[in-house]
Amino acid sequence: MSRVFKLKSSDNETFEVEEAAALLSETIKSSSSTEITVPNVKAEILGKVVEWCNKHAESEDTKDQLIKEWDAEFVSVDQHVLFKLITAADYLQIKELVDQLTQRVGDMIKAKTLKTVEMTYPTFNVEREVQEELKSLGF
Amino acid sequence: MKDSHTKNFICEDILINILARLPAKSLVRFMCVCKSWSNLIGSSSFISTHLNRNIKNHDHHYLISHHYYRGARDRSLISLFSNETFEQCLELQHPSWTKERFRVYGSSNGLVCISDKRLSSTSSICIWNPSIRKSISLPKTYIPDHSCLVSEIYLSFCFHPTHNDYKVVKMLHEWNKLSMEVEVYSLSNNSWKVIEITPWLNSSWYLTGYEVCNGIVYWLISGGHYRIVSFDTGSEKFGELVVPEHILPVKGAVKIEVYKETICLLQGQTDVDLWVLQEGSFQRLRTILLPRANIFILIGLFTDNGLLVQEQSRFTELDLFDLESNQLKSTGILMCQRKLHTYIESLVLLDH
Repeated sequence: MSRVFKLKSSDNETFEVEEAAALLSETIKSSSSTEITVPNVKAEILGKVVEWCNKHAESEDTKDQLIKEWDAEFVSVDQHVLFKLITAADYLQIKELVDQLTQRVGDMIKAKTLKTVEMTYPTFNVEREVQEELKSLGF
Repeated sequence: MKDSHTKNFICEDILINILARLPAKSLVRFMCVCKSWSNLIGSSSFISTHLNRNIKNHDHHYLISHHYYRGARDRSLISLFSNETFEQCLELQHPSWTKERFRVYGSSNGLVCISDKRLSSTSSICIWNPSIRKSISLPKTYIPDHSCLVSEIYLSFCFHPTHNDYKVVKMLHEWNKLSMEVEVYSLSNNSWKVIEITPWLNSSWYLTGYEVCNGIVYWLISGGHYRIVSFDTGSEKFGELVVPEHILPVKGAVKIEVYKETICLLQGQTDVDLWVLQEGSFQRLRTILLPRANIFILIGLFTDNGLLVQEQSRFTELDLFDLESNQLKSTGILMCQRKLHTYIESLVLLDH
């Protein structure tokens, strides 16, 4: 008999999560209660995190090609959503999700700055350019 | 650049997590973004995090090779090649070696050690991070000037994990002497130290190969039969490993290599025996069967699941034999020097 956890978003929506999926979160694991409020995370984002946990709880082999493709699609969101997902995953301490999301950000930075890193620029321009590139990515 | 008022607030742990995945060149550029990023990236804890992540995930690993240009074999250069695709990623140039090429003598924990192609007691030695172009020139050494005609100098470089220090070991062998002279340089002390000579060698010998592993240098010595003299750069103590009788010089050249973080020996031209050091003695782990039709020169082990070889008839072409699939494939690299090293990209020396 598995327990059911209740995750509440900052805009008061509740998600019911099965034990196997919920325990992917270290925060939930070490919590004494089955009802957890996630501050600063709205329902839209929390729902996606729950979706990721459900997917990973039901798949036994995380090295499976299908789940890798699913994960790749999951992180292909625009940077605003990406950063919000990172905040939620970090609060809930879901290590693998945090790794996947941060890897995605890293890849986006690499893709964006790769060309300009290779070319030589006069030093006084470098700072402004890099700042602009990073700003456009949400930093 | 973190602004707690915007919806894109990221805590420092996450920022470190993201930045640690980036190539060194990008990170050096990002140091000019703002003061907090500059402090973060240049901090010794971030430099460690970045390096350890690369080591653990086998990320940003490169093969260093002195090679020829394809189609222009009179010109050679030293480059970094991707560990996965073997495409050339970066040509290595060092300001202290403009006319003559330098030679790479070791690569460990994110740094490489370079010096002249022909070593003399006056050769410059540098510890270098090619990703961030930071280089340390070693001070001159104690060993007095010997004529190159009667002695050989061997250079090794390693990171000692327990002492958390990079060491350069210079071994001098005078042919008319039975002993070896050893000097050790420590990066954290920036100084050389002369080590007492090992007393064990009591017959004439010559060096056939050497390797480093976990801060210990191993010299493969031949003088009728094989012996391995080891030197721990941390404790500064010598040791000896017994080489099995089955491994005889008459059976062909023996190579000393590292396999899964232990010392091993390779012998053979088509059927290659792999002997691994287990609990103080060498055990034959397996025999690698290279394609029968050819004779191969062994270059070295590669990422614990490959053997780099050179087919005798295809001069300079470097091939990779996959130990799991038993397939041989061409890397496309035309080597002009038979020693290869693996370089792990890092930011080490950024804060030096």
